Amino acid sequence: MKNKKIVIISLLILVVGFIIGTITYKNSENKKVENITKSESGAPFTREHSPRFGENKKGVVVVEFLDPECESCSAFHPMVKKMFKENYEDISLVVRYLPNHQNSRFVVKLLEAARLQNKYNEALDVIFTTQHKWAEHNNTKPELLWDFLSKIDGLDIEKVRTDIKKPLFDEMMDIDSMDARTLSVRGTPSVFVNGKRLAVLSYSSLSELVESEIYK
Amino acid sequence: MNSTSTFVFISFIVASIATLGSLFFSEIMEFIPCSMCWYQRIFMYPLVVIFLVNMLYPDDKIVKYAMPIAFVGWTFSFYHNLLMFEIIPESIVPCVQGVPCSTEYINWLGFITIPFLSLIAYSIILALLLLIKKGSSSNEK
Repeated sequence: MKNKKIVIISLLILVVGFIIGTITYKNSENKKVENITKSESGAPFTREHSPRFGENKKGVVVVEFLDPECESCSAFHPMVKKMFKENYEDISLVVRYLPNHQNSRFVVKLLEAARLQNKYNEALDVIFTTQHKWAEHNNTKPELLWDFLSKIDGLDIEKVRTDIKKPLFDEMMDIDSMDARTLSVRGTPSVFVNGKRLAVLSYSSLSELVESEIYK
Repeated sequence: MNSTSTFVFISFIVASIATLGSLFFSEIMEFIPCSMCWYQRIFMYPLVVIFLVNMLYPDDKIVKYAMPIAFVGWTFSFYHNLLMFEIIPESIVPCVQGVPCSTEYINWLGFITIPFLSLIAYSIILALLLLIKKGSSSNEK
C-alpha cells in the first residue's frame, strides 16, 4: 500500500528530526556553559557567600544547586554526602540555592541561620530527613521545622529566629538564582564538577565524574 | 492520493510537529508547561493517532472523529492567546499553582509565542478538516 510507505517514512523523518534537534540543543547548551568556565574564574559557578566544605587539595570544585523543599534533592542528598566523605580531602563542595517551591526561601534562611552557628550540615540533614513531614504536597507545614531543628545539639533556636530576618540571605538567594539562569540550571539538584555538568543523577555517575577530575 | 488523504496527511504532519514541538519545549528545553498548555496538549496528542490510523485504514468519517477534538483544543488555544496578547487581563487566568499562563518562554519577531504556535497548528488542522468535509459532501451529490 502506497499510504503505508509515506506514513512510515514521514514518522521516521519526524522522530529523527526530534532526536537531531535534541542533540543539537544539548550540545549548544553544554558549549555555552563550557565557554563560561573558560572566561571566568569562580563566578558564576561559585560565590564567596556560599557554604563551602572540604580541603580541596586537588582543586576539584563540586557545585550543587539545591532546593530544601525539592524531593529529588532530598533523595540525592545521601549520595552527595557519601561522595563527599570519600573525597573530602581532594574536593571542595559548594552549595548554591535555587528556591523553586513555596517555602524554599524560608527554609534556606533557616539553613543559613544554622550555618552562622556552625550547624549547617546538621540542619541540612534534619531538613531533608523530615521533608516528607513538613513539605507534604498541598499541605506544607514549614513551621514544624522549628521543632525539628530545636533537637539539634548546640543550636540556639532563638538566635535562628532573629537571624532569619537578615536581608543578606535574600540577596544571596537572588544572586544564586541569577547564576543558575546563566548556567541554564532550571531544576534541582543540578551538579557541576569543575564546570562540567553531571548528566545523570546517580551515585555511580557522580563519583565517576568527581574521580575523573581528581585523577586527571 | 486523492485530496482527502492529502489533507489528512498534512493534518497528521501538523499535529505531529505540534506534539513533538511541545515535548521538545518541556522535556528538552525544560520549560514548565502551564495548565492552559496542558489542556491544549490533551487535545492535540490524540489527533496524531487519529490521523495516523485514518491514513492506514482510510474511511470517510475522519471529520466526525477529529473535528470535535480539534475544535475544543482550538478554543483553549484561542483563549490562551487572548491572554498572551493581554486582551483578557491576567487576574482571571485559571492557573492557581505553578507557572502563570501569561509566562512568555519564547518570543520570535515580537508576536510568535508558544500559544501562538499552538493556535496556528489548531487553525490549520481545523481548516483542513473543513476542506475534507466540503470535499466529501460535494462527492455525495
